[in-house]
Amino acid sequence: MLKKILLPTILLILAYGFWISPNFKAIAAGVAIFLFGMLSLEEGFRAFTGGALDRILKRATSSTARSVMFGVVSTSVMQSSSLVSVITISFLSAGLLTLAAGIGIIFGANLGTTTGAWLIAGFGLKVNIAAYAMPLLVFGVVLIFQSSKALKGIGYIFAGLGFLFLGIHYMKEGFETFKETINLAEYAVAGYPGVLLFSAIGIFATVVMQSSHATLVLIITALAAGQITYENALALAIGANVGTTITAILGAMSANESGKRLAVAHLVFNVVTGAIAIVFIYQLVDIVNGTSALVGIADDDYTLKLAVFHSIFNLLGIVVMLPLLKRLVAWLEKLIPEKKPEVDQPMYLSESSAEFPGTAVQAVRLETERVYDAAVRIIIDGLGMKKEQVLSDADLDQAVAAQTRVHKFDINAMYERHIKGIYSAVVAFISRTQFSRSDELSIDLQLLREANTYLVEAVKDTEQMQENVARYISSDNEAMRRAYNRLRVQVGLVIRDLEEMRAAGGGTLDLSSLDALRLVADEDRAHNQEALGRLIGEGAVTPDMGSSLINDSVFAHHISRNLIQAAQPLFAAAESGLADAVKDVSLDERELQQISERTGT
Amino acid sequence: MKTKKLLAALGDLLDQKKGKKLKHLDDLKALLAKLEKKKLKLQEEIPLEKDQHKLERLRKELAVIGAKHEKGLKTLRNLEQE
Repeated sequence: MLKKILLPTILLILAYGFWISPNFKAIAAGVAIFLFGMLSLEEGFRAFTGGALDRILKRATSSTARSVMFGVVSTSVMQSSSLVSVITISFLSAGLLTLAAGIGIIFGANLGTTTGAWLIAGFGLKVNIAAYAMPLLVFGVVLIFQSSKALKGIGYIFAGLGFLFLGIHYMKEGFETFKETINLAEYAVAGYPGVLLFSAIGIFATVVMQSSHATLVLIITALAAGQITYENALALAIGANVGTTITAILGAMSANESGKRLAVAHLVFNVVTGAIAIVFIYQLVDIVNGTSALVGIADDDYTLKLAVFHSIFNLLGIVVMLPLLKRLVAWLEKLIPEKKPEVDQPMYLSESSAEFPGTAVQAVRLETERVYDAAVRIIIDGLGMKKEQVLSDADLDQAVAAQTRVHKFDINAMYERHIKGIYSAVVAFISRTQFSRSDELSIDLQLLREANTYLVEAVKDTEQMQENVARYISSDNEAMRRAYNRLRVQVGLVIRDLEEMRAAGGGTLDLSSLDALRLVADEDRAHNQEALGRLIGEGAVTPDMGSSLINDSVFAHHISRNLIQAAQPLFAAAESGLADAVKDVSLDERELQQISERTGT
Repeated sequence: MKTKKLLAALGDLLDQKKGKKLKHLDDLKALLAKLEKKKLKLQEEIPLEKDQHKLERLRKELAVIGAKHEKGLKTLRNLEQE
């Protein structure tokens, strides 16, 4: 209801403002152009997210200090704490970051965002910024029309910077001429009432504009034009800092529990920092004066002093909150616990993880690994084996021969409980992603979707075999016992080999190991058929038994092949960048068949 | 000479198609080197393996890698001749 009223209200207020004051038009247009510039910048930087960002993030967040530094640097470069927050929430939702690392990044982002105030106060107001905006816009637009993703990204960044500078220019001009009509400084409120009032205005303005940068630019340009007092400007800056958490809260609504925890952490940090700044504002002003004198900032350069204040109170926030990080993480995990559903649901698929191709692929990979683990558990139990024996160096022939009973359970019910929910969600998630078909990561998503299908088929095939396995592994007919034990061992060994590959970390060369496994599975099938032919010929098994064994040999072979196919995108993904070379050397069915004939036992 | 080399490198950078081909060649050479290394490693491992199933798998893997290496060399020769 509130949302429905808010937008028309804002539009009406703006329209009224334009009607009564052309200067207000200039300021509002300046804000709009500035915000558009920020969107453009974000679009530009998104083009470079992907494999490189994954690798940088993993290395840059190996400790809390590194996470904070990463937050500072990335926000300073991208000039958008919102984008850094969104990226962090996405990566957290996809399981690529720990909560502590994510919180460290958010702390750093708050400090990094203060560089915006420095840029505007130190550069933006002191030069003819529009002169820099025009060439940036022209180059930017030319590059946006290129087909290369990288050049497009650079184009958006240039255009974004151009719009940013143009926005600042219009806001500057707007406030200069606005002064002649109304002097807002007459409405200044001194003392703590002023601090509280203007902090609230700062929060409101940032919530409406969804950008603390835009609010800061407004504050700095208004301060430079003498439209607001220095004291009120400081309070507005505090409010802008608190108001910026709304973006994180909105972003986290579509995130999983991890993302929500991060958003709450962001809110806690900014509110605590804001509260400290408000309570100690006059002491901070003294510190700012001292620091400014030390670095040579003139006593009456209030815009630069505002930038100093902004940096100092955010730094103070980090100093206060960083020692409490572990406690904060524990509290957040208690406040927002993981939900334990009756039916397994996806843990990593969310709107946040769908934001970027890299996080989407990682989220789907993690979910597919969960499906793989569930499928393997069902297959092992369904074939009457023990997990600790399959996934160890134990002699599987002996172990399986000793297991003459299958604990009967409803495989379909297990599938419904542990796999179907995640599988359906993965399929829906992949269908919803908007990445271009030519994108390498989009192909990864398709392969992972196929992997899920292979795993489901492997489980279904196990269900087909289950009854006969239970019947024949305790049968009086030794030939059938042996034959079915052989099938179980063959599947068990494939699971064991795949687990070894998984533990080894995966890479381009493991595709060869998978090819070899496939050949072994195919040869096993050929041997099984041969053996079965002999058994039937010798009359060691009845025709009924023979037909059961034929069918179950096929199912066992399918289980092995499906597991191997599923493992490829999961455990043996080609290193990004070598994908073309891997395609060049990959062997087709005919070539694999030739190898099988050459090396057959 | 240095200027010529620099201009040639810049030319390659701007000539995206040629740049892609060079990258493809480099990647293929890197992959072939990895395959060669793996081949040697398997040749050392095989005589020491006692487990029959593992041995069978390692032999197949060696054969697969050998075939991939041969295929890769053929592709490399074709690309270099283009």
